[in-house]
Amino acid sequence: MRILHQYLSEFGQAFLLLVRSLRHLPSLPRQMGRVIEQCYLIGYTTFPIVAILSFFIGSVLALQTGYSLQTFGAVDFIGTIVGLSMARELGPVMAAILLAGRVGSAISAELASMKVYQEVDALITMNIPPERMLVLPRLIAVLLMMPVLAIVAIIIGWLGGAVVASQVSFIGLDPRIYFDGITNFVAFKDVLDGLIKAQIFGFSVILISCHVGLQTRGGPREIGNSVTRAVVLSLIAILFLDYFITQALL
Amino acid sequence: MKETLNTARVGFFFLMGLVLIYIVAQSLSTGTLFRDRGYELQAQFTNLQQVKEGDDVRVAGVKIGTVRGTALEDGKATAILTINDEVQVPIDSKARVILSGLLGTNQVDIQYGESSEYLSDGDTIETLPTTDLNEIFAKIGDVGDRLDGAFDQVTEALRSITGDEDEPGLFKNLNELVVENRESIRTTTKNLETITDTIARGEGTLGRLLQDDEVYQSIQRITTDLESVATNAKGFSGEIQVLVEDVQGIVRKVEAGEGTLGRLLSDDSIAREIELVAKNLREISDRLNAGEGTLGKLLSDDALYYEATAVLRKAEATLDGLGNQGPITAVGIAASALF
Amino acid sequence: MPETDTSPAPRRALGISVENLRKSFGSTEVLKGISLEVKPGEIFVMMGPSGSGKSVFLKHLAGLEIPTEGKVRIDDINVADDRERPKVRLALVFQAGALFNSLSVFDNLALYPREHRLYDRKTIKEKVEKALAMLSLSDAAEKIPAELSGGMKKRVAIARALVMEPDLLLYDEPTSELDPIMAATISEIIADLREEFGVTSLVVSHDRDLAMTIGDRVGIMQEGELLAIDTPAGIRQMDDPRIKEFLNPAIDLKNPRFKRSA
Repeated sequence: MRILHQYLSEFGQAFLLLVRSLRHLPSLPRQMGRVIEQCYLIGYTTFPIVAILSFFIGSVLALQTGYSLQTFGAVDFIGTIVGLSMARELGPVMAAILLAGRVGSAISAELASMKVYQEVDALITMNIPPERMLVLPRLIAVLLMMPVLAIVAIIIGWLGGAVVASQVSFIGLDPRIYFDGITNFVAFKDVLDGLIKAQIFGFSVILISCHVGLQTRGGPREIGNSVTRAVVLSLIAILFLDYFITQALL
Repeated sequence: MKETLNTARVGFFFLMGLVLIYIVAQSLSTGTLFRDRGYELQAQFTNLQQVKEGDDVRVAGVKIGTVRGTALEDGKATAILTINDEVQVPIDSKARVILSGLLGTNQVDIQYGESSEYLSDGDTIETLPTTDLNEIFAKIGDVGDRLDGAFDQVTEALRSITGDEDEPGLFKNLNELVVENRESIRTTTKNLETITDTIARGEGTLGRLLQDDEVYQSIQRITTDLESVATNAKGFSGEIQVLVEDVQGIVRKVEAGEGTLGRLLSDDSIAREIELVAKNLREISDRLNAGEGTLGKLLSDDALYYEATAVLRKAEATLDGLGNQGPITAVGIAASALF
Repeated sequence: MPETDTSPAPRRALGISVENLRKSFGSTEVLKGISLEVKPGEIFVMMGPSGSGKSVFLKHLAGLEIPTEGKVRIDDINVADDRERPKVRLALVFQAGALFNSLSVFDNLALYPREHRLYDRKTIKEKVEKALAMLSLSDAAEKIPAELSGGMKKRVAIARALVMEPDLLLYDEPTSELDPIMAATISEIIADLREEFGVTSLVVSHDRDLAMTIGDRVGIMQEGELLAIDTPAGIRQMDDPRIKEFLNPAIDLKNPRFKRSA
């Protein structure tokens, strides 16, 4: 019960951080440099790992469904199954989890160290709200980059599935049939749902990481703790939100 | 410098994302990111099957638009079709729902009319009744059953002519008769001569039966009809009925012929003509072997066999594609019974 | 120093008024009712051993901590209020510098005028270069903070405060962890800046020499209480044994536990 209360208050405070950050929205045009810098860190540098891992997620998905479906002689439907799972669920979730691991941890570490070494205090005495300079550009950047990461994850996952479906001997599915399964039964709405999901996940991950980083108190040892907390809270948020967003988008 | 490079990378990356999203939207069946430009037609169908938003509208296989939506209006399934602006559809064109893929995707097919007036935005296009796949399956199943019966009868009829181990057939009986009654045959030869002459000239029932190609051709016609029946299930049952009746007619005629022969052979007055009969009969059997005449062709002409098997193969292929085991068995039995 | 419009200069000197300031963290009371006044243009040194609460006191002045009780006003502005505080242009020189590690020294200095769009790009560059020159840091402009020594970091922090053209300068332990020569240099700089711009300065330190040499007035704090406020000369003449202890050079104020070690 206490843990639940603790998590809820974390999410509540993260939400308040969001509200405080959004107040600085008018300053955004002046912060384009920082937004682009964060876009680079959030999107460009995360892209390779997202691409590689979603390829394997798609592959293993095709392998598993192929193995199960060959019993019924229904391997033709691998494309549909992989297509829908990647678009609706695995693409966005994988992209968000990798974002939490790669970017969320880095953000919480950076902000925690800024907090511990009083850089955040220095900003406050300079009348530069940390929300404006540290949080807002990251939130905007993730909004711009997350759909790109998610669509990359989805498409590369599809390709991974196609490679496995056509190359593994006991499946041996013609890629054309595989992609027919995708184009005929995956609606653009499915992909759009996935992108919306990814957007919400990514936003939550960055918001939580910023919040945890800025909440850090004490000495340098707390930086490590903050990183752990940020990643754990992000993963909880992703899986928790996943259910409800899925429900809402169905 | 590094900053500019990163900005370029981010910009490229972002554009790549947009392009990918656009491509995915356009590739997937219900891509509605940008509505196709064009005018709208309404089409009311008895049954829309699985036609859904985003399916293609095609004329002779060429895509001219998409299904923008489906609705139920006054109890009739209505599809709203968006047709590309550059395509003009004659006012008496007809739309129908057809199957376009093995996985069960449908499309709307438009058959152009003759009119020089064209449909414009908001008009309703005429439609053809939807062929229900399930109905086709059922019809093909029926056809298979009937074929089965028809071929059984044909086999039965042939057996009564050629005979088998248990029951001597027509020709065997005839042979025995000739051997046993050589004397009486010789005596009746003279009498028979005139009769066989007329037979040889193609007059009389047996003569016509043996000489006339008409029956053979009618069977061949049936076969060609069968072929068209297999491709177009409509009217199939009628043709099959004709086939069955014709085959039954052959059997009846043969039976009638047997009667005539019997009567002919029992008559003593024509015994002396029997030599001539024997000669003529040999001629007949030679012809049978050479594949002339209806029976001969039935027995030895490969063309008929191939025609029939081609029909069966087509039917089989159709049924195979449908994955329906019942009709295949029926047709298979029919094929093995015949050949 | 040249009196051109590009030189960093305070707009005006502000006075500080603290009334019965109390602050508790949980059940521990760190500040137990502090009241004092700092006059505009004055250098006020708050002295005390480590853990006496003087850093917390300083944070209250900068608006980084909210008082549990009492008022902190700078020129009649309540700095505890987030909406009012921006009206005061104050600069806090942190003990460890608190330089932005991701930015070069130049960008560290330029951040404030850039963020608040005080000047155009060229003017900002000139002002930053002037501030760097004043603290003999011209060669370090393109370095990142991690490459700097402790003394340089402190000077960069002071330079950054200077570029802000503050109405009030707060120093947190400006001479700690520095060798005596560097400590003396920093003391001189603090005195020079006041000389130059007449800026009100409040220094928190346990450095007796610093307090006695540059302070116009000195406050002595122990365990959250203000023991005395007077001029350095006045402090020296006080009979209070606790104050005499402060002034005994044999006692290490940084580590009061070892005060008998000398």
